[in-house]
Amino acid sequence: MAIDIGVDWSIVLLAMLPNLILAIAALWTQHYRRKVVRGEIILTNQPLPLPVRLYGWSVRSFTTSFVVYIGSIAFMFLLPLLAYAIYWPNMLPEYLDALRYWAPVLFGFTLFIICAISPDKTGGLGASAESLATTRPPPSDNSTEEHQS
Amino acid sequence: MVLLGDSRSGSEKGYLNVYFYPQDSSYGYRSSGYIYSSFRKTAELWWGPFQGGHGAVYASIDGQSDGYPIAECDNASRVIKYVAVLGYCYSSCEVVEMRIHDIGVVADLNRHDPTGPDPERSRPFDGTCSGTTESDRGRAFVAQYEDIAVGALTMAWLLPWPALEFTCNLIVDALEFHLVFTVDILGTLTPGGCTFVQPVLEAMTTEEQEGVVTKVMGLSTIQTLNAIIIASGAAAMFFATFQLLPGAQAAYTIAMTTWTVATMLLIYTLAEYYLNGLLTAIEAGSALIALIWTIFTAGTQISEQGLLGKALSFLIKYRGDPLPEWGFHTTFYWCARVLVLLLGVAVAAGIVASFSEGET
Repeated sequence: MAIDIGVDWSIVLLAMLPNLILAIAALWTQHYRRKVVRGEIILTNQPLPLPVRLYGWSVRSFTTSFVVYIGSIAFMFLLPLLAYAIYWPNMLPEYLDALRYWAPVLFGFTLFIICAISPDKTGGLGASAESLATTRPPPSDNSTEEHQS
Repeated sequence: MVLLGDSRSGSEKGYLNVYFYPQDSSYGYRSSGYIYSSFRKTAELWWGPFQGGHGAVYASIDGQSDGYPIAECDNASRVIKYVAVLGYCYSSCEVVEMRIHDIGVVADLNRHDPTGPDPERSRPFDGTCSGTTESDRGRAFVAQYEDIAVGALTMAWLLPWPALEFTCNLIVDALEFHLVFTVDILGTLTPGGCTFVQPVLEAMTTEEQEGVVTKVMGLSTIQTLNAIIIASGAAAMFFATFQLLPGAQAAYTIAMTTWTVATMLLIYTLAEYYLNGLLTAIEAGSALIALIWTIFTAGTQISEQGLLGKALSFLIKYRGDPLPEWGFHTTFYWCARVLVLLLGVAVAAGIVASFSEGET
């Protein structure tokens, strides 16, 4: 049975979803970090935005990072594989042929990304964010300038 | 300092004094004396040689001087640090009555050997923008490559028919590039030879080289572009992190330019493949995932705490923090991102539009 093109794309888009969410969280955190460094956002005890918390959770330990990112890539390849194997077996040879290139490339690249960004105890916000979080604004200077008569 | 003063309230009695304040002794001055009418005088302060010492500061008012200096000053290059003009009067007089008409400062560096500025001493900064002049870093950046070019190029005259032979022997790390050409007195350019030596490729057997070529040629355009995007994205990340490595700025620029061009080509190719019915969903998805992750990582830095950061800790002295501020590079990177995003949206919109047209 031939697969409908819309269904095919829907399966792949669904498989990409965890990766997309993680990438958006990463971009959001990068943007948030830049704002913190510029002083546009003062970190207090109020909760961080959800994407920033998600990214922070995903990079704080290498094990979590490995499971989350490699898992999301594995999900991306396994979901279509299962769908094709069960419902459209005639698609399998073409799919497996494509995997010969894409699976090692994307797994390798993801491993590189994981090693580059984790473990990061600051959750991607950087040391500057840590220091800002503990720094209080200096007291206002009310002293008047002394003039010599 | 030039002091223009009114000496007493209720009386039009003024004076013009010239002071020199040495760094570690009391001041010396030249005075016009009290003047009881309107006056217009010219005060001069200058450094000159002095018997018994290295030099001294002299002053005159309307050319009148007793010939003696007002203070000794050995270090001629640091005679004048500040020039101040002070108008001083009592409140009963109008300030407008006392005016400084002109001030001229002449730095005559030919009169003695100036002492160079102390490089370790901080220079005061008054907040004025440096303007659009070339920065020292930019000049050093260009000079560095000029030196490489000059070092790699040798020239020799060939006889009997006079011809100038240029030999370029450029060795960057393990890569060797060798180019020879001659130009004779009639301007005829004759290439002599061009070789490129890469040690890894040289070490491979013919079968291995053919195998690599077959493998590379066997990749589809999307796969090739994707490999370039990942490699250039990772290289940009590496050089953004270790930005103090020699040539890091140029390498970062090349990597980001390659990434931008390859990314745009990939988006175009994806659209072309899709419209021609050649694109499979999994190939599109995989390429897009790689594209999205390189958009996130290409210009960022490798975390110092991360495993890769620790593995590359032997390069720690080259690590720069924060992200490189290489002038146009940051702007360029953001422009590249926005361009890629816009192109992606435009292509997606085009595909959707053509798809809906096909349905109607």
